[in-house]
Amino acid sequence: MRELTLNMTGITKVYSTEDMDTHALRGIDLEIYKGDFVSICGPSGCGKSTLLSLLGLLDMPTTGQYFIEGKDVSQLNLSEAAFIRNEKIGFIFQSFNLIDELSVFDNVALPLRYRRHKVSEKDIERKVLECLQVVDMTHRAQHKPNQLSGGQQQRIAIARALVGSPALLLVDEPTGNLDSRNGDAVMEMLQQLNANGTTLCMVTHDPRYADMASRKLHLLDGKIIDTQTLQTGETLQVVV
Amino acid sequence: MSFNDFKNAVHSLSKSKGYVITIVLTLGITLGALVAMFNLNYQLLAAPLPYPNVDRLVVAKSERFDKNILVSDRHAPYPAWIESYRQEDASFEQKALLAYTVSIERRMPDSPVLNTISTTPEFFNMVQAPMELGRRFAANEGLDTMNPVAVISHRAWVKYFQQNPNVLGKTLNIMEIEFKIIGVLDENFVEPELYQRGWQTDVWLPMDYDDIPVQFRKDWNGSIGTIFWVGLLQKGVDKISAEQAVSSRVAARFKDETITHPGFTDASLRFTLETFSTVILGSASQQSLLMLAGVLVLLLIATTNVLNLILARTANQQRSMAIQVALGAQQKHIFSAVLAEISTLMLGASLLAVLVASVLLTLLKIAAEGQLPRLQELHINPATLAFTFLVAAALATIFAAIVSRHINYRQLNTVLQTSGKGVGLQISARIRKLLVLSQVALTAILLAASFHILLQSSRQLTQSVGYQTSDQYQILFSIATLWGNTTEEERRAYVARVIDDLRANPKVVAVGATSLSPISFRNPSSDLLRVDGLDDKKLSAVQSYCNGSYLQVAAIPLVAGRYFTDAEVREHAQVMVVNETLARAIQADGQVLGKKVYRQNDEGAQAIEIVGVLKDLQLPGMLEPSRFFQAFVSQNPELVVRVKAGQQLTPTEINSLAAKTHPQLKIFYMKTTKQAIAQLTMPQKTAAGLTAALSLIALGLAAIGIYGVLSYSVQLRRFELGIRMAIGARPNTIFFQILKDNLTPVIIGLLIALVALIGLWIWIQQTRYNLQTTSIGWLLPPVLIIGLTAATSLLSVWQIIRKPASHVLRGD
Repeated sequence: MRELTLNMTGITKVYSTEDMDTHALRGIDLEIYKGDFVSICGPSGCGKSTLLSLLGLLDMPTTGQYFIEGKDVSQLNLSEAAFIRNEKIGFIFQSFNLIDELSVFDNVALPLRYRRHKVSEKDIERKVLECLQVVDMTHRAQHKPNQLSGGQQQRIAIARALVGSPALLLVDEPTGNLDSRNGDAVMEMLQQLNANGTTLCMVTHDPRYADMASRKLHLLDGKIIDTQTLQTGETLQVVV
Repeated sequence: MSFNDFKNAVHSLSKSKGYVITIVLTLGITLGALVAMFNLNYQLLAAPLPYPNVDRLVVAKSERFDKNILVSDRHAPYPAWIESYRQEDASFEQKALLAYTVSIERRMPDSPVLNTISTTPEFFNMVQAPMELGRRFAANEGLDTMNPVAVISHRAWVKYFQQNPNVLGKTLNIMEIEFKIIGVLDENFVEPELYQRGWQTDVWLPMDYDDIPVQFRKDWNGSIGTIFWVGLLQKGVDKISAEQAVSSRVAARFKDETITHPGFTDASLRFTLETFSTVILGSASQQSLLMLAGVLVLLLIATTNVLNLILARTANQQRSMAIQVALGAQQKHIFSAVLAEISTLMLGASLLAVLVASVLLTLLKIAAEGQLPRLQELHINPATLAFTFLVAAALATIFAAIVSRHINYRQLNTVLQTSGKGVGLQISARIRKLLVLSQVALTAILLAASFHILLQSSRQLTQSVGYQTSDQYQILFSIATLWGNTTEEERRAYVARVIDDLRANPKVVAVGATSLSPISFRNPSSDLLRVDGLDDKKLSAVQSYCNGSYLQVAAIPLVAGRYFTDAEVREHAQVMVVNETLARAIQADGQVLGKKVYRQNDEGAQAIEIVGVLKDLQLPGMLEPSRFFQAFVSQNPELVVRVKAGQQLTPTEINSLAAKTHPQLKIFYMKTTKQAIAQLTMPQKTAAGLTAALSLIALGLAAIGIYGVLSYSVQLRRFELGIRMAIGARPNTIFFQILKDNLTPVIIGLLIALVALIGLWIWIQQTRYNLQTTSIGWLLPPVLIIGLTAATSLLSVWQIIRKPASHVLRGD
């Protein structure tokens, strides 16, 4: 039996202002199993980013239930959400979101430095270098992010997402700010990670990349309107 | 700058009311304080005294020496004053005498005590005193004319005669003599403060009616400190040569007249001439410059705040500037627009500053009355206005220059062509750190200096003076009218009877009599003491005569020996008690009981035995001098009356009690000892009040300023903090991260302040200013500033850490 990484039931998200309520999500039911590679597609404003925020505990749902590895995380306070996020979830953003003032090494090390239980500097160094090795960026460890190309920055972002050994990797338009060559390289790397057992959930506009997932969700007006299970993800022939 | 620039500036500012109010208030208040201090310092350092020929107006200062020891300062025998005045002298165009006293008008209701000067006619001519009514004294109202006329001040005319236009010809009853009023001085007449700061004369009488007792009038051994000899130098005559001529004659006369007196073998008298400015202003400018420095630091802190706000606003305006550039605006157009907006703000701040300065000057006149000279002349004048607008214009130019340096004109061209991400105009991290660092350094310096002054003043205000002060009255009677028609024995008998009557009063517990309470209306005078076994060595000490009851009432703790008794005073026992300082001066170990001392001024040179040593007093703001109390009651002592707890005495009650003894005995000084102390501690209270206000304003400004910079920094880091939160940073982790980052410039600022303060402290050690440092004075400012940084860090990051990370990343 496949191990359930997360499941959502009846999740809604409403953004309220004085004048109006905006229903971003309208009853999402979703299960993601260990080793899954789920892609989420849909037009602008359909709720993709909101869903990703809720999956990553960056925000809390208005109603509904959300479990990660069996633990109810539907209504956590900010500190508890931060702990879970730090230990269970890795993020890869469209605009990389690296901190310019920190070196590549320190950017990657950041999640470990926020751990509930202090991680020794020796372990941090070992894990960071391992992750940089995975994305082939060890030689850039002491550089600042603004000294790197977009593709290199996204690889650093992947390393940062991996360093805490998360149960789930959330990926938001990973190729949005990259040219096709670098975009393909990043996707190939994500595929490789999934092949090695990492659970992935990716938001993308690009149907070619969406098809690489094992499951594709179509979102429209805050609802999942179609779930498509793909036999095998399309493989890119790209050398990273 | 064009009119259009100003119109646009006003329009733009009207949409940012909070920004305008913050800047105008911050700069208006601090600039107002600076203007008030400028006004004060201008008055004390630069403004000419309001008298014609002021450079030639001089005051004689007399000093009496015994060998090389200065026995008395500003005291001289009465005949020395008079002879110097009468002496024909080619160096002077005019000379005049002024004798300060207080007198009682005996016919008016409640017998008011009037500040009185007896003078010669030349004085009003020298200072060209303007008259509201009547005339000044004429030549036939000079010395030895015995013409009982009076000139009253404008204040007295308002207070006692309700501005009656027919006051001329009316009389004042002083010393049982009817003085006909011949003139009222103009409201604008500024009386030179030669005697005491804040002294305002009510009545001016001819010199013949000074109240110096008859026995002093021909006494070259006596010493009078309330007479001032003033002169107008001839044109072209320098002060030094005039001084040599006057001083040599006085010195020779003094020597001739005292040579036969055994105690005056080594005595000499010297007159020096000082300008009106020196005497009136004294060292007051030291205090006023200190206040100016404090306010300048305050303005610097405020300027830093404002600069940060202006830079932040400029950063926010980059898009509108870029649009202007795209439409063809040149660099000078952008600069003009910035300058117009800043100038508009500065204009608002200047107008508020003038208002604030006006209020502060009014408060200063009340708070510093009697402590600083020329306060009554303070008002907003053209020089003040010019200074205000000049400083405002300078600040506007500086702000505009800094802002324009910060605007990258070339970059503005590109703003509209890109998303703006990462290329936006910002206050750089370096400048932000510099703003915090300078603000912290300035605030820490100001706070540390203020706290030390505040703590010192508070300590002086709260510490015990070292003798009994509760439920105690100090009363002095006017006996001037008794001099001519009673003998000394009779006057002593009157005093003794009044003391007995007071003791019989059921409210009264005890009555003592002394020539000089430690805190008294009277000025202390010193005498030289010669001690058996100390060869020729003479010691100068403040002298008091008192009875045994006074020592019991004052209850100054004994260190050794005993008080003398009333019986010993009655029996003319030659005994005294001395304080610890004098005891140690006589003998290093202070063991002086039984030692015999001799008074310089005592013709008989009888030995006086020391029977007790008193603990030193701790009078506010002064070091305890050598002091002795001799067993003897003078003919007009100050009575110190202890009443039962909660009981009160009134002047009317005391006057009617004294009238039973003699109808002319009337109070001219009556205060509780606590009131006398309160009056003495006015400088400490003013210093405490000023520094407390300064500390609060500095702290408030620093809080606003540091919050402004930190909040701006956090806004700039908002996205970065969102990323940190997204990858698992908890709210408190974010707060501590921000606090850690913010503390770096704060700690550097504190270190800079520490270095500056150490330098300041070393400099103060070399001046005469007595400032004691305390650990709390050093520690409190950094603790407050670090606390302030923590609070402002939390406040600035609060909006971020209390929201979900997705909101922060979205910039909600």
